[in-house]
Amino acid sequence: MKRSLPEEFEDLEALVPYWTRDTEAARNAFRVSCSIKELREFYDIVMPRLDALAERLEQTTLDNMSKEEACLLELALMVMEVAPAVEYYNQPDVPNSVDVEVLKILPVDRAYKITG
Amino acid sequence: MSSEAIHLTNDQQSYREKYPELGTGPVPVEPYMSEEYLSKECEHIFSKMWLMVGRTTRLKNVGDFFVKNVECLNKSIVVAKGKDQEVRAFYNVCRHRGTNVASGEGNCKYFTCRFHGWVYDTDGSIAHVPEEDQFYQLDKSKLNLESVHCEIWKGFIFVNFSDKPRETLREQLAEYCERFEDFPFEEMPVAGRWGATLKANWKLFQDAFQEGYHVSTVHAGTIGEYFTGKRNPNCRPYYLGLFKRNRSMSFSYNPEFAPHPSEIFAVKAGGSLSQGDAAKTYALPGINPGNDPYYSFDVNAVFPNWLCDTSAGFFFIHEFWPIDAITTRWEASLHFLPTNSPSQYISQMQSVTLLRDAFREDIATSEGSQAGLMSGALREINFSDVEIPCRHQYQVIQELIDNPL
Ligand code: FES
Ligand SMILES: [Fe+2]
Repeated sequence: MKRSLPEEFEDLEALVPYWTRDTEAARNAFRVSCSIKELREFYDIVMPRLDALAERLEQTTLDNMSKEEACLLELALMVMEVAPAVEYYNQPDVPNSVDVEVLKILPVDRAYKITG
Repeated sequence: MSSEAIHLTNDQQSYREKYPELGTGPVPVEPYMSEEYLSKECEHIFSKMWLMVGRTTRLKNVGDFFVKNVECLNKSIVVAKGKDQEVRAFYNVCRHRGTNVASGEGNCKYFTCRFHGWVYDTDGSIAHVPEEDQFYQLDKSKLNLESVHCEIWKGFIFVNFSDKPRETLREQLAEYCERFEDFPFEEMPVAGRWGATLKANWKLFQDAFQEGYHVSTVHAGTIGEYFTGKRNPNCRPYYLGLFKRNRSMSFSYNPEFAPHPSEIFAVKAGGSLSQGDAAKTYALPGINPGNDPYYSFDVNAVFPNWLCDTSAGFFFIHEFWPIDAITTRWEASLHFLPTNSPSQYISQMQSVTLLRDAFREDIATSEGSQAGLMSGALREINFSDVEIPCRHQYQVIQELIDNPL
């Protein structure tokens, strides 16, 4: 099978097809489409690895990422999107708020460049 | 508890003493729901003041443009960068029969009207009229897109719709110009950008972002504890200043906040809204007046409809555009100091996510509040001492309606 993450994160490989998105809008849409059980499972696997993940990514810079590094970064970004649901809300979306469609997440320039 | 924080919990009404001219009586509900009142605001405020419409970072290259609609004035403008690198604003109105020449945002060589194909340069000047010889007396020197006054401060683009602006942009910005002269706004890229069209008066919604009184309740599910706790249970501003039509306040973080794993990571990797030790690392000019040791961020209300909230290493802005008296188009964005570090970028997304989710809580309570006012059950609103920014906004607007500029 083709590897999509840097070697030392082989154990996270199975998450990649489901949990990587390259925009905030896509990450949020995915979060609210999941069950809290799915979100917690993902969080429980990746959050404990986040320091290692960040440390690995510090070997490169945002403007010069390999495909594998960008993929690893996107997993980390998804953890940041999922974290409040698990740590605070105990449900996929923020409670006591307006429908998720009301707030539009507008596009921004992507902060990282895939060069390798 | 340290003595400097006493005014965060004592029962003294500090701001009423500082600003007695604002009065203490209830405020009528009419300004928050009446079309007639909005039409006065349009006439005396939106038609006369400088309005922030976007950042120059959206116009990096020649030909980059964006359209901005100002619904309450029935206006649509194009803001574009011309071949001479100048940023200009003009009416999005074809000089032939009025059709819009652009929509959305993007990059183009020319603006072409899709009705009969008149073509304009990116500086607004007329470039081509198809079948020009079929017109009777066309003076092409008078057919450039109608320009709108446009000025830039620190990478923020302001327009003014009056023939002759009553005040310069710097006069309108007043003390902010000096205070934030060295704040690197232009260098700070956008990390998150959001918008909504919601059922609330533009001032009512803006008020949700210029008081901390609601934080422990509305944001109990998100960022509430970042800013409350024993030292400051009701999220009072530790600093507040009113300057002519503008106002500024500063809030502290809660030193006793018990961070979750995502916040622990974010603080380590770059920073988090949850705590302000970043304030020491990323201190920027103009922030934290009064040097609070637990400084979190400043709310800077720039009259009439813009908030430019500064902090250590980041800032976020809100625009509030009335569509009608009870509908607002809101745009907000969060910006950080530039970084090339992947882990720092990950940490930024922690703030992006939680701030965005918290904004949705603000929309919900504001729409609820508007619906309540519309029921007619309330004749007036009582603002407390810590809600004095809301009172100030009301007073300033009323004053401009009573004594127009
Ligand atoms: S209205 Fe634009 S070309 Fe006719
Ligand atoms: Fe709020």
